[in-house]
Amino acid sequence: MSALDALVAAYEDPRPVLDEWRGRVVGYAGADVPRGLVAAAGLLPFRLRGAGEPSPQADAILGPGVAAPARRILADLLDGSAGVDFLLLSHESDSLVRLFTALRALPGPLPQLWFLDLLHLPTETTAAYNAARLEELRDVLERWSGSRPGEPREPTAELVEGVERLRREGRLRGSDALAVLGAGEILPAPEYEQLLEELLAEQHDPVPARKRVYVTGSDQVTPDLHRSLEADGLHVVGEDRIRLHGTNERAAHTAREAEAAGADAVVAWIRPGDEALAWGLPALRRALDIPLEIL
Amino acid sequence: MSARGARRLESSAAALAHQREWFAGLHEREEPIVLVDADVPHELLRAMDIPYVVNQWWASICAAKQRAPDYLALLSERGYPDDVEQYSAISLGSTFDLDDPPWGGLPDVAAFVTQVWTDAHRGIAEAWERERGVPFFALEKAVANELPERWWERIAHDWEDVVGTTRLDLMTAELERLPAFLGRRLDEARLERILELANEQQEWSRRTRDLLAAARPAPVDIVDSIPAVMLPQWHRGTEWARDAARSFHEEVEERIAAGDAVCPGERLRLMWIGRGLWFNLGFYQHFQQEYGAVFVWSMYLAIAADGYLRYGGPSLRALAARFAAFADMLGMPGWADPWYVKEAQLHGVDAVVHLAPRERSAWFVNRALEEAGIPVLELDADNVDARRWDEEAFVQELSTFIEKRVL
Repeated sequence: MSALDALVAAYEDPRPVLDEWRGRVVGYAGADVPRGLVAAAGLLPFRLRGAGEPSPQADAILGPGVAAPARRILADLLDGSAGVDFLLLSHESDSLVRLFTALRALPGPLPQLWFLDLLHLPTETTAAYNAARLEELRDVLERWSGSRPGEPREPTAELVEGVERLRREGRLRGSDALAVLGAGEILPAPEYEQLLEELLAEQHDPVPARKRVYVTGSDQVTPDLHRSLEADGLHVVGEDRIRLHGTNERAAHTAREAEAAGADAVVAWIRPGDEALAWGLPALRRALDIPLEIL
Repeated sequence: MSARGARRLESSAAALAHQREWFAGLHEREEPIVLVDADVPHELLRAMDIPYVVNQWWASICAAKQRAPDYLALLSERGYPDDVEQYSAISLGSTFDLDDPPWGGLPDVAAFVTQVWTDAHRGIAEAWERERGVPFFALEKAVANELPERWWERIAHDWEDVVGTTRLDLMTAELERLPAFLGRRLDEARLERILELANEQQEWSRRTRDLLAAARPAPVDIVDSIPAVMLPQWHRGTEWARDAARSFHEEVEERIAAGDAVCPGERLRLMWIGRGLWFNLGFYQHFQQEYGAVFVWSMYLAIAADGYLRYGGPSLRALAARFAAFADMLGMPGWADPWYVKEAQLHGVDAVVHLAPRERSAWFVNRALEEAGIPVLELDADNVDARRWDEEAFVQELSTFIEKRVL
């Protein structure tokens, strides 16, 4: 099995990893959750992507205004298939706030739950609040694991950048890159780094493409959108991995990343429940020098 | 024959007249206003003598004048969504109406103050800045891990514990920066007096709520009680608002003593959960005629009674405590559902109509009420966006609900 196959396999089916870490798995949702800090407590940070259909029960509890991935996470928790021992949700979006407040009010048995209330305004008051929340998280992780987290353990940045470089050079499909980066939200850092090193050492054929696009909007929890764009002859050179909803800050970030990736156009895809992102589309249009297509 | 037995409330009519006069006065003052969301501490602006208009109140006027769809279309023309947080967005749309806005339109807006309690609110604030050159000041909406029990019994005095120190530290720090943003200095003695007046006003509201909860038949319905409560609420911290709340109480007391009934032959008492249906207040009264069903409860008087009072502590912190958990009280699972059940039982309602646009889940509230033996009808509609209202279908839906589940 190639390193690419191994990484895609971990992305598509994390169960072997979860089995290995049983009792120490922290399921988390929110791109701003500090994975490295969780790992530094001897726990496995495992991102709950919420891919797939929610259940009717989860739909009823949260309502259709909550984005489908959050409803799917609830469905997995309610039917006991989530495979996590602890649950860490951040204030990344309304949908996650509503998932947290629903879980808090539902009767058990559910994993131990913590809400990491990281807020988003670019102010000193918010920065101080967030710093205190991260200190608080250290205490929570110590309670969960029995050991105080040390230095955060993140995968080596050069290796992750190597994946982006492969993709931008047109030697790794966007759908594969999404899975490779997603595997980093499942695998422990040492194992992930080993596979990335192997991936970067492997030969990769050029990806045929008539146009290069950058994806913004809702979080991509499966490679489905990328694959459909690829079927149209497009190469997905990057996607937003921050979730500051519909703001100037988000628009500037998207414009910067799209330019750095050499995109010919930006594609915005917004799922039901994330409609607030649309408040940022005029800002995004202004920020871009390349076309914006809204799917 | 009219279904209404009692005449309109004088206190409600007086509040409406005052509101028109006050708004005309803002135009005459020729000083730009600050536009504020309903859930930010207006008291602070009042203490600095800054004229302000409440964003959602203005949206309600636009909706009542049947202009909201036009204003949403004006936003859409500029690339903004017309179906996300309409209640908070209509005011911006109204500023593009240069022909015939209601009440002469919003005066010039110098600044916008918001609390980012949804994903859309910061985007809306930035749109004000982009489209109208209006700078904004945003307050965070922090969420606590802890869930307080029976908050309504403790929050007036024990707010530090109920709301939580971390959230209060944050909002207090934010409020300390607001005067500088607005280019003013805060007169703390004046703020203290304003908070006293605000408490006195809510104390009157609490007494009125208790009177109405016990009164049979209902002497007023929510079409009358909402303006009598909410217009003074937007002037919170003034002697006029305190006195208006007292006048409302006195009038209700007189009506109860006289045995007045807003609906002679009252058969059913209904509770309306959700925001007021500003473009169609007649909906509430239709069912008096048909079924003797009176909407006796809206959140506006009840939250004035239970949600606003704050005693003790430093002024700014007490003010933060009024707003740091405001959305929790009205909508968060574990906060809102037991409170609605308490209110439903206190008022002896026979059934609940829950206006819950599909963006917001009503599951916890509805389940709690149903478990308490109170039938609930959920309506998927928006309180200001008439495009999503199907009068015939909703009248039919509520009629069927009354006939099948309540009578």
